[in-house]
Amino acid sequence: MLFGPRKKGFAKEVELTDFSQEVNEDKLKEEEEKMDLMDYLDQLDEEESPLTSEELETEEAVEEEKSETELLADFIRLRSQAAHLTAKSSLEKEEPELEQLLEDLKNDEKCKDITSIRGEKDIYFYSKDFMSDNYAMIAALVEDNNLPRTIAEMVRWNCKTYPCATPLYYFKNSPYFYTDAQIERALMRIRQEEEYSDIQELTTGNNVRYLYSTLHMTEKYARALAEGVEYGEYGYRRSN
Amino acid sequence: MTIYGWAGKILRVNFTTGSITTEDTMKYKDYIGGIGIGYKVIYDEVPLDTHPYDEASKIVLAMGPLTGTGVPCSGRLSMTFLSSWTKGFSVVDAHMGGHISHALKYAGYDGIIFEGKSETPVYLKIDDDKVSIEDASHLWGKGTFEANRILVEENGSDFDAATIGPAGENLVNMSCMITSVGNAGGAGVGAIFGSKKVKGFVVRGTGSLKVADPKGLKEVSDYMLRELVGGNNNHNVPAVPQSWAEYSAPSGKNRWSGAPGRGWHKAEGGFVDMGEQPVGDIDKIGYRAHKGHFDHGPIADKYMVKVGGCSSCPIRCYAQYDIDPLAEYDLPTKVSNTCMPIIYQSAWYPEGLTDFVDEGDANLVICGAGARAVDDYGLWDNYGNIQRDFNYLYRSGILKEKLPEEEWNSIPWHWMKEGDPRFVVDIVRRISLKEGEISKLGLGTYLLVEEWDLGKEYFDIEYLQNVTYNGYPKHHSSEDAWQSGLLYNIMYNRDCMVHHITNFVQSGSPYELYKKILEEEFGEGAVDKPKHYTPMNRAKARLAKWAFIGKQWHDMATLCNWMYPMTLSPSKERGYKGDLELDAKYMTAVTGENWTREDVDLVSERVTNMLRVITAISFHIHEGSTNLREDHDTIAAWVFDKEPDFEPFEAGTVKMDREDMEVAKTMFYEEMGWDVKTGIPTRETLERLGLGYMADDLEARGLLPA
Amino acid sequence: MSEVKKENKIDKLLNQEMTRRKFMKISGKSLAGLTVSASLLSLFGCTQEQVDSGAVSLWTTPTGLLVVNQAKCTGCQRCEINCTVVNDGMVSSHTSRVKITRNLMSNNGHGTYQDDWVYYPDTCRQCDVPACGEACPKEAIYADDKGVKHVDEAKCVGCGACVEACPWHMPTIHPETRKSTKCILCGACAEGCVTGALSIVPWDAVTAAAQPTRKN
Repeated sequence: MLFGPRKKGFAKEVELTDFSQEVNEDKLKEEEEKMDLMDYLDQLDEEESPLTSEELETEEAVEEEKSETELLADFIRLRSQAAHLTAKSSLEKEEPELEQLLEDLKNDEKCKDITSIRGEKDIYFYSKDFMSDNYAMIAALVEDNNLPRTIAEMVRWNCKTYPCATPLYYFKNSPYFYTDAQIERALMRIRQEEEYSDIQELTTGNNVRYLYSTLHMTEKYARALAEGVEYGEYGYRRSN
Repeated sequence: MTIYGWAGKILRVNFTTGSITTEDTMKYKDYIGGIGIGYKVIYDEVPLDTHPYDEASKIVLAMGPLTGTGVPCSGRLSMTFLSSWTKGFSVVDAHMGGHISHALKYAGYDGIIFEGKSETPVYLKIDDDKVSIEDASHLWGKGTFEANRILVEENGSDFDAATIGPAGENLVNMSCMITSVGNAGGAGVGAIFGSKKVKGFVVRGTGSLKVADPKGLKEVSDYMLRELVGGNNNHNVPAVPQSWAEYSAPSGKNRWSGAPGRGWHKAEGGFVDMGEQPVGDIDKIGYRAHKGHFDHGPIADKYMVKVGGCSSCPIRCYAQYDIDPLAEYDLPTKVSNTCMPIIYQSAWYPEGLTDFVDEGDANLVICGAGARAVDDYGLWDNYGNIQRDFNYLYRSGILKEKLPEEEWNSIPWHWMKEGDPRFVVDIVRRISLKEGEISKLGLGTYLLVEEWDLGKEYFDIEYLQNVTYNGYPKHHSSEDAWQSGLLYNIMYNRDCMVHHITNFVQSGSPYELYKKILEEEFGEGAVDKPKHYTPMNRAKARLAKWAFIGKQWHDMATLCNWMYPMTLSPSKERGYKGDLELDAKYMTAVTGENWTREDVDLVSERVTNMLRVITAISFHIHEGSTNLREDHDTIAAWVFDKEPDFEPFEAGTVKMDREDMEVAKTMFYEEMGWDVKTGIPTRETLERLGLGYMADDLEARGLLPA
Repeated sequence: MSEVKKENKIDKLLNQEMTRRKFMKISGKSLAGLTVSASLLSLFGCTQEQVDSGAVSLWTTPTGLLVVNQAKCTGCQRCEINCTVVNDGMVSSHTSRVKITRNLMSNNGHGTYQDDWVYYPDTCRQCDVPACGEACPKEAIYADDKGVKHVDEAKCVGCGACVEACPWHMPTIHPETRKSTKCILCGACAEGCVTGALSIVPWDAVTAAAQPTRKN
């Protein structure tokens, strides 16, 4: 599908919780009777009212035809707007002349917003007009699907930038959506790898686990920040 | 002559004589509106030894020129009156949102002065220029939900209402007035209305407010909505990474909680996803706050129907729930609130909670029952003090000592232990109806300490969070905002409403980013790292003054204390910098006068000093004090003694240092133009602000600094 | 422009006009029993469930499809603010030509004080045969070249017949000018809606989104 899924918030994701598998007379009838809106409108009697040439004389911008490069740029922009990167590998499948196209893209004045980020396994394109560089960094990490690396990089980045320790539940949120099991496995590997030896764990008074990097803060400070988030103004919350 | 922004008239209603008159708002022009008018009227007309429940006591309800004129986040009003429950019994202000401020202004009024006392229960009916005092005997004794509904049904569906509940009727100090669903004005105002036998008021406004430069106003509003406004508390980065955003809250938690996958599961027609809300998209701003999720986590989404809030505001910080588990206990399931009532009811259950349907849902369900109860009874919680007082007194055994055995046994403690939502409703009822000794909790912490002889040490207990010895808790104090936050926390006669600093500290923005923006304004050293403070300096004093006088500005204009000022922005193009000239731009567009930021600061300082002078006089009358620094601006010991594993200024602690705070007070008073020994404004400052008459008054009382 | 381009342009406009006339048949009517395609749902900012539950109403106007999604209205009143600031140079609820406040508190058993949060802005439907225009004794209500209904203030005498005649009582007699005032589809209300509960979707967008479903 050339146009990726729309941004969440509009089209509904159907979660079937009722007995949809059951064959049921009422249900069958319902689905038969439900007609598509546009088909229904076509069915109704057409009103006789042809448009006169005067009615067509309106000021409207003429759409120029777009070049291949522009179409590719538009495609990347649409996906960026929907919070998706565009992997080079996915383009290779559809586009035989990809290298030339990408070269033209780089040089096209109108496509200055298209840029890329290099991941471990692929190159990802996005439009700076719709996606921030930092989000692209996060999205690229998620695409690469190297969970220990993603977790370690983000924990370090958060410690350095905000500064703040990172709770494990942060990785259950968008755009990561990791499960508890995935996070535990990743943590196991982090503990084993030398390159991640700066990543340490602490547990707050309400049993919430946080990660921090010793490159950027002490345990005492990390703990205080984490407790501050968890306790907040009103006391520990039990659901995260 | 056309008046722009203001409606032009202030209503004065005397419930003793039944007289209803109007005055020209422009008499109070120098004080702008809201608490400016409030402090002026109280100072001029109410002797400061008046008890709030005396006939001579007044409530000054007022709004400013920016309310009703469509400025985003302006749909609220201020009520000014004398405190019945804090040390010194001085002037306090409460603020109420909802939709009623618009109705009042469109009816033609910038304010209402409630004076005198009625013999029988009445309510005030305002139908544009037809104002009357009506019989409220059929409403007296009813909860606020029912009373508001009846008032609107009886008078017309385009009316709006605000009423007190049984707590106010029974002169419980900790009482409020309620409008819309869960929009409250607190600080004890409920009981003052109660003492006047005024159930509330109902209003319809079919008029309009004139704006000098409508095109300019729309431009500034759109500019604010597109480029400056963030989430709730104006947090300028989202809680979870969004594709358009460079930053997000590193903990995954801040007050811009709307995100893909989160939303209202009980919305009409099914789940409404909050999605992403990029900068510039006005049609998504309402999805940013998603406050229920910030307060309760994912469980909130399960029960959310939609969001709501105040007129003109795009943020919609009220979470509106349909909490089914409450039906099992025959309790109402529809709950709407944004603050303590829907956050902090678990403190009524010192032995813990048990979940109802889903893991971790206990707090939300209990808060749902509690919020509905306190709002219906019109009980106010002093930013959580009432709950903390109960919790501590129960756990320490003092409550059992104080209550007669029969009363103790009549309380359904088994409900408390089982985490049954009916417990909080029962206790709230007892306090609101003054049933038994336990209802002394409704006196407020300061008087409770006296009544039950709890001793001054009570205020030094960290859990209880009393920031001073005057009877109210901290509210974004040194835990967020180093010395600056603590300084303005101790300035008021109730918990402070200043959110200037906490808003950017808690925003989730990187420290270096907001530090740069703020220090450009206030100087190097103004902004400390989270939980890593440094000794006091002049820049922090300037920062504290900005935030302190700014709160008075909001309650004059009238603007939301949680959203303004637009210090930061979510826009990367702007370098995340907000616009501190914005308020002046609005004043110019609305009033047609040329307002600068300095003009706004001047009127803010004026009204701030009125607060301080009135406080000084009250403390003199009630406490025999001539020194606010020593007698009012006291700081509870726990602020300095907490976190014993840390030293002040060590990374990881927010504990303050006693000597350093004395330096802080001195620098702050100097910045404010107050005498450093007494903390009382000097004649020079008062004259500069057009308050020479107040200097004369202070002098006559022997309070004016030499 | 070239012949081909002119033909394409005419084609496009024809399509849009046809779409509009199609939608007129269900303007304001219940959509129960109809499925709406994913691309149309996305454009309207609603879900099939919301359509099924009656939370969404569609009204055809000359410039676009007016979508009112009751589930999303949070009562902020900014639609009224925008309407009056833009069209009157002042701010009022009563005179606003989009009306939410009158539904907000207590309205036929719904609203803030009736313990549910069901409210939505009433909007002018720009009826093809306007009841307001038909009732006006001075023929002061006319349609412009786009079909939008306006009040000619020179002719209006402020009798209020339009207000009574309109099934939704949308026109208002302005308390100060004593003239009828009604919606002229400026779009300021939808532009200011902070949850997208009120939106005006231009016909070209509707037409484009309607295309893919034809292939099913």
